[in-house]
Amino acid sequence: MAEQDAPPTGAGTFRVALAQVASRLGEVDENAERHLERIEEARSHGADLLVFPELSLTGYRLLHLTPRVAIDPLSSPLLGNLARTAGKMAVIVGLVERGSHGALHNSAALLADGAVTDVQRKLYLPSYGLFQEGRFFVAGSRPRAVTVGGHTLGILICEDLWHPGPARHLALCGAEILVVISSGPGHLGRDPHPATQESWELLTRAAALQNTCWVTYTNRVGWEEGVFFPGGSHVVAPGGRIVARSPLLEEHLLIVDLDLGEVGRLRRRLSLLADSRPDLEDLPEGGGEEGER
Amino acid sequence: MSSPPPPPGLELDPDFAVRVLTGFLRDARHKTGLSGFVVELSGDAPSVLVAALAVRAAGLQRVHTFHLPCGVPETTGATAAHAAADALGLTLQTFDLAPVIEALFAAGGGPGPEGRQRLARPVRRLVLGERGAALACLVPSTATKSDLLLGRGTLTGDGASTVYPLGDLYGVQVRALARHLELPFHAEPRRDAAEDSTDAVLHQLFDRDLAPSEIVARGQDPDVVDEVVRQERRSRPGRRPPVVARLSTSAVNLDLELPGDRGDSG
Repeated sequence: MAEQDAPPTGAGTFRVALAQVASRLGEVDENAERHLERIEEARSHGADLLVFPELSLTGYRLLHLTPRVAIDPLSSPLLGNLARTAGKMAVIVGLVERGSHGALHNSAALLADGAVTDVQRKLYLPSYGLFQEGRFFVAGSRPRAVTVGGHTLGILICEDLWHPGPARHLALCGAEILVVISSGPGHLGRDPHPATQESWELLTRAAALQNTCWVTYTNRVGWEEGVFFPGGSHVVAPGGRIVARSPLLEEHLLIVDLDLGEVGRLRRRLSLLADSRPDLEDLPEGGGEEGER
Repeated sequence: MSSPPPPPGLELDPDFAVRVLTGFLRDARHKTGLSGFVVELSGDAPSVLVAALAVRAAGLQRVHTFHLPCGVPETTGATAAHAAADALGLTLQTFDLAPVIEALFAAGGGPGPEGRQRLARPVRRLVLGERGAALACLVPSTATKSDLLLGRGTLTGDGASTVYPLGDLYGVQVRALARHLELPFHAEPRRDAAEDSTDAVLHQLFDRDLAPSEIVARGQDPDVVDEVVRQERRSRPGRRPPVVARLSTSAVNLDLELPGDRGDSG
C-alpha cells in the first residue's frame, strides 16, 4: 500500500484530504465507486481524515427521489465497505439517512477504524429560493463534537454554518477543527469566481476567527438540473487565514497538514471561548427581546 | 456592434461566465449521450454566442449550424450569420423555408408580416428538431432571460428546447459576452437601446426585488415600466410547466417532482 510511502505527519499535525467531487444525482452505486477511488488516493497520501461534500453519495437535488436513495448508516453494507477500505483513516461521507418513523435526514456519517462511528444530521434545512430541503428532510436536534485520532472535531452541514450558534457550540465542546461539508450552488458576479465563493470564505474565515479553530470547507462540483456547484473547497487556519484552496469547477483532492497546536496557542492569546457568555448567546424564541422587534 | 456595457448589477466576469456556460453545455451533452449541437444561426447575438459556446463544449465537428430564412422581414441578417460562422470555422447550411410559410399562410395565416412571423417560429423549430434528431444532437435554445420573462421564448418557438444556456442572462449581458469573444453579430442600435431599458427594469423587478413604483422613483420612464410589467404578467402562464388537472396525490410537477438529471440506479 502506498500509504507507507507518504510523508509522515509530525507530532500535533493532522493531515486532512478534501475530496471535491462531482456526484451523480441518484447514482448511489456509481458514487460509492468513486468514493472508493478517492479513499485509496487519500490513503496513499497518508491522510488522517478524508472529507466528502454534503450528500456526496446521492447528489443534491433529489426532490421526490429522496426516499429511494436513503440508507440506514449503521447497517448499510455500502458504508461498511467504504469504512473497511479506509482502514485507520477516518472518512466523512454525505448521505440521505433513513431515520425512525419514515423520517429522512440530510446527514454526515463518520467512518473510523473500519466502522460507522457517528452520524450527524443537518440542523438547518434551507427552504428558500431554489432550496426545498424542508419538504424532504427532518432537521437534526443538536450539534455534537466527535473524536478522531484523539482530536476533537465538529461537523457542520452547509447551511449550519450560516447560523453562528452551532459552530460556537462545537468550539465550546472542544472542537479543534470545524469540518464543513457543502453542496453549495454558485452564481456569477463581476469577479472571476462565483459570487457565492466570497460568502463562503467570509463565513469560514469568521468561524475560524470567532471560534479560534481550524475550519475545512468541502464543496462539490458538477451540474444538476441547470444548477452548477463551483467547488472552491478550502482550509482556514485559526484566526481566519486561508491556507489552501482547491481550484474552481473541477474535481480535486486537497491535502493539507493542520498544526493543531496552533489552536491552543491562539486560544491563549485570544480568549474568545473562555470569555464566552452562553447566557447572552442563547437567544430567546423569536430572536430578540420583547419591545425590540 | 457598439453598445454600452451592462448596467450596475449586471456586470459579469466574461471569462468565468463563458467557462461556466461551456461547462453547462458539456454536461448536457454528456448526460444525454448525444453527439453534439444543432444551432440556428440567425446572426443575432444570442444565436452567435450559443454557437460559440457549443463549439467550446463539443468541438467544431460536433456543431451544426443552420440559417432558416422564412421570406419575412428579418430582424437579423444573413450577412452576420455567415460572418459568425466564418469566424467560428463552422459550415452554415441555409434552408429556405419561405415556400412552407407561404403554404401555411395561404391555409389561414393572420394578416401582415406578424402573421408570417408567428408561423415562422414553430416551423423553424420543427426543422431544427428534425435536424437534431437526425444528427443525434441537442438543440439549445437561444432564448435569454429577457425573452423568458417577457414571453418571447414561446412554447412553440424558441422555448421548445430542453437546454437554455442563456436563459439566466439578460440580452445586454449576452451582447457583452459576444463582444468579449469578438464575435460578429447583427446589431440594431435603436432596438438594442430599447432592450437595454427593458432589461434594466426586469433586473430591478426580479434581481433586486423592487416594486414598479420604486423603479420609477429611481428614474425609469413610467411608461416603460408599465409596459414591461404588463408583458411580464401576461407571459407567466407560458413559463410554467403544463397545467395538469390534479386527480391523484402524484400529479406530475405538482406532487411529484422528478429531477431530469437522475440516473437509474437510485
